[in-house]
Amino acid sequence: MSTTAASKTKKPPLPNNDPPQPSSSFASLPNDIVINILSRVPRRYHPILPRVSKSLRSLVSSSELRKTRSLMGKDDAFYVWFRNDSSLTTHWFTLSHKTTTGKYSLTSVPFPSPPESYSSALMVGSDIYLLCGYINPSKSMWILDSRSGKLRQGPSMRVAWPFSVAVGQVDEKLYMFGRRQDEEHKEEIQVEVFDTKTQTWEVAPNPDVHISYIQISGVVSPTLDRKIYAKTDYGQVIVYDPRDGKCEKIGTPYNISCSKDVCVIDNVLYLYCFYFGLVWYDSKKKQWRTVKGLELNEFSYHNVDAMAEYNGKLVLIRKSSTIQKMDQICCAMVALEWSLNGLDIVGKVEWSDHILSVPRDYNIVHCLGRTD
Amino acid sequence: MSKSEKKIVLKSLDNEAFEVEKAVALQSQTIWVMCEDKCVGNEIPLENVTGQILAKVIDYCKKHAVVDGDGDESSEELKNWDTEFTKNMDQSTLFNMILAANYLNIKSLLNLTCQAVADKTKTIDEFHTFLNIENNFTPEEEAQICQENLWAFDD
Repeated sequence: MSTTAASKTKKPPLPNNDPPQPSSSFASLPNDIVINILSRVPRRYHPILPRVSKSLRSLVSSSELRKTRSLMGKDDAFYVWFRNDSSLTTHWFTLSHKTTTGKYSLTSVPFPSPPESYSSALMVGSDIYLLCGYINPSKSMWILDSRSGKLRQGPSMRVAWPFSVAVGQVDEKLYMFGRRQDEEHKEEIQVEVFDTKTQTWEVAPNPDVHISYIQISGVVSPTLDRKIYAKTDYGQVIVYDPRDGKCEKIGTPYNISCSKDVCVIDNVLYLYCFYFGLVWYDSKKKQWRTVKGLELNEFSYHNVDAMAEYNGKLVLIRKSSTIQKMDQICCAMVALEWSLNGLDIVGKVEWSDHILSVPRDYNIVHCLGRTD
Repeated sequence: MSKSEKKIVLKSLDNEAFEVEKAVALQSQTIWVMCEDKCVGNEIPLENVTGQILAKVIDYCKKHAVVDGDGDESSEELKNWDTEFTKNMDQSTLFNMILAANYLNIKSLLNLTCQAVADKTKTIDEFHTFLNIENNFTPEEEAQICQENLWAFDD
């Protein structure tokens, strides 16, 4: 059978009907198409995208691109690090999605364990950097390639730190906030910086304010002025500028107990606080505000143990003790967007579930997202 | 059903008319809806697509249509055909194909053409030249961004 263009009845264009202008500019494409195209560009080319143009730069840093990639099944990997506090062993799990049941669960990943126990980790591309001893001071650093599952030793730090209290990444550099006691047994925080390019450790500017204790939190936030956000134990978020060590302190709501992790999505800083739930920092009004519309039953009147971005959404994880032998790991995935009037942030729980049962000794250290 | 009912006439922006099998045209969700709403005299005006682009869209739809089993091809063959189809399209044609696929709501064609653009752009120069994106950074901004991203090229 024939389906050829049979009757070509060409008529002259109407007088007021301009001939079609061939669209030859990427800028003329609607935003959702641009996102569609960019999400098909292999992840390894993503670092060049911000250098192309200003509009591309803002699109690449938006969560829209990561959400679209996720819809296409190009999910980045998400790892949860557990430590057995009796044996000090490390256990890795990855968030996996069963397409048959639509349910998420944590699956064990048989990564090799480094010879010592570590207190901090940060993920750069597909590499997990394990830093600082846990309880026992250590100078060594191990790098776990999450693709091959191979572990290699990295260059040693300058000082053996008994604890790393925070780690953060700005561009090619990893910042490690170490805590130790000086000669007068006063606690002090010092910062060391690792240049992933030259593979060397150096001293970084120390925070210009006295910080007695920061909790472990590593936030990669090139979109928020290239500063590192860390949560202190005393109801504050410290904003550290790696260029000169200048710190800004942001108080948390009523100084109540909040998550150790802070998280940045689409230039907004999030924190999870007991009683208030998920809050965001309104930098214009300089105040924390509750994310509207969230119903986090599993998390009500509890705190979260870890919080991180995953494909443009926020993942909250907590361990809940039961009378049974095993503890439950609960997880919620939250999509966030601005309200129509642009004044509030509205959250929607996409799913919330028990994703793993673990022995009591297993505690969540951190969760890490691979972005490649 | 008479022969004429199985055919449909698509009219481009520049008044070019194409007579095609209904099964071919209905791969477009937009045409599907138009057909249900106002399919007067079996002619559908497509105000956003030129004849040159529409001809290519119809080629694609014909290849992908399953008409009484005749149009059924193995998926491997179809894939190769798709690759060839977009391989030699210039930038302007590809963009217009994307806009047409978007307007006509033919999801598989939209995905194919978006993928083709993504495949053709792997360097900054390709983004600037092939996609015709203006580099609107000042030299100072560019130097700083270059510095920020340098490490990404090492591996």
